[in-house]
Amino acid sequence: MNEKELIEQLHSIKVKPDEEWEKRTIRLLGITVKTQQGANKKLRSYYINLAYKNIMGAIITLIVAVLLAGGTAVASDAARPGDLFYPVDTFMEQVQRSFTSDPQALADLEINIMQERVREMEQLQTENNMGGLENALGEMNAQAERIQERVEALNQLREENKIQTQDQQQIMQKLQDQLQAHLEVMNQVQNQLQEKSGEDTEKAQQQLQQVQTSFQQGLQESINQFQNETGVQLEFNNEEQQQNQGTEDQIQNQNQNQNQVNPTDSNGNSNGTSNQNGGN
Amino acid sequence: MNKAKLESQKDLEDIFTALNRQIYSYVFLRTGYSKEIAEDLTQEVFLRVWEKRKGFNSKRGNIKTWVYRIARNLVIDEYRKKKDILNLNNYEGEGRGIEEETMINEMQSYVLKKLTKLTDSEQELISLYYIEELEVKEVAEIVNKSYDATKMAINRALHKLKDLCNE
Repeated sequence: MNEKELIEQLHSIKVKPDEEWEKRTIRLLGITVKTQQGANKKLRSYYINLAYKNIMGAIITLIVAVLLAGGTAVASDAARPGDLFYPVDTFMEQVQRSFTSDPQALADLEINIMQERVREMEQLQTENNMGGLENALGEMNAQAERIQERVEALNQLREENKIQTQDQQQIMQKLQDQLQAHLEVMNQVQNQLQEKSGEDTEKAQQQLQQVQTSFQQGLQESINQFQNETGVQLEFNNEEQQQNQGTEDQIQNQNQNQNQVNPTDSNGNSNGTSNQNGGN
Repeated sequence: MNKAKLESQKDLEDIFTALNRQIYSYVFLRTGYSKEIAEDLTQEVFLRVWEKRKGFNSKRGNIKTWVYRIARNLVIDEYRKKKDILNLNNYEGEGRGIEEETMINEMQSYVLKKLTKLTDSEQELISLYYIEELEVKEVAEIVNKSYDATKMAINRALHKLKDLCNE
């Protein structure tokens, strides 16, 4: 077989499908197109409905979220330890911390949060909620430690000349002002607790005493250290100085009372809180 | 077959009428000469043509080579799935002869039997160029090769087939 004959043979091969198959396939294609077009219409209609529902759902969700967020924020801000919304409150504070990178701003934030803790403690005492008060005092201790950490960080930055003394001074001044106010509140709470009785009250009194000591020994020492290292004397207004003096007297009185409540502490050593820091 | 649009049932029917015999023949010759497989796969080709109609771009080629490429991909997929069933070398052992399926004569049957001895790509080139009688340019577009390379490959495959037929 030569090339030409082979090509003729190949050209002559005609493979044809059945006519019946051709008709059947045309019908099948027609059905497919119609079905798909119908399905597409239904699908389009479905998606339009879905989109409409989603948009409406999104709007409603947004409204609810705004209302809830506002409500939750208000509710959580007013929450006290042990309340339903209290974890939201602390979570929001944690979020604030996460978004605050400037060391001074962070120290300022912790001081503001402490104000919130003290307010919570005061309210719980007024409501005679001793369980909540214990939690609040625990939170105050933790917050005092956070402030100390922030102050130490600022000290470090100041030593490395990364921040100016004046910049830290503003924070330390605020801390001192707040500390005096907090100590005054704590004294008032302590006085009110002394008028009450019960195991829970006694426990709260002891815990409050520890917090007061922690404030005096921890935070006040941080302030003293700053003044000693920089030579800066933080200002006191007269009223605050008077309050401070009154506070110290009250703490002394409370310590004496405490010693009476706890005879095992009456060896004279534990009453040195105000003596150690009273020179400010 | 210069239809540039494929939007309606009528468009699809026109394309089917114009191309179904060529596509059927191509699929039949590429899938072990089985009428059933060729019918099923050819139907599938035109269903895919409809499904993929939005992917057709008349600027990149004509609709004929586009449909052939769909058929080619489907054959390759099917071959991968059912390798043993579509083994072209089994052609001679099949009970039902190609003559019965295609009403071809003895000499044509002999050539087709020899055709199965070529490689897949050689069989494809012979099928497209000599049996389906497409132009070299169209074949090149379907097999995704250059015009010159395709022309040379077609000639080589023909010489090989001639040698096989004269053994």
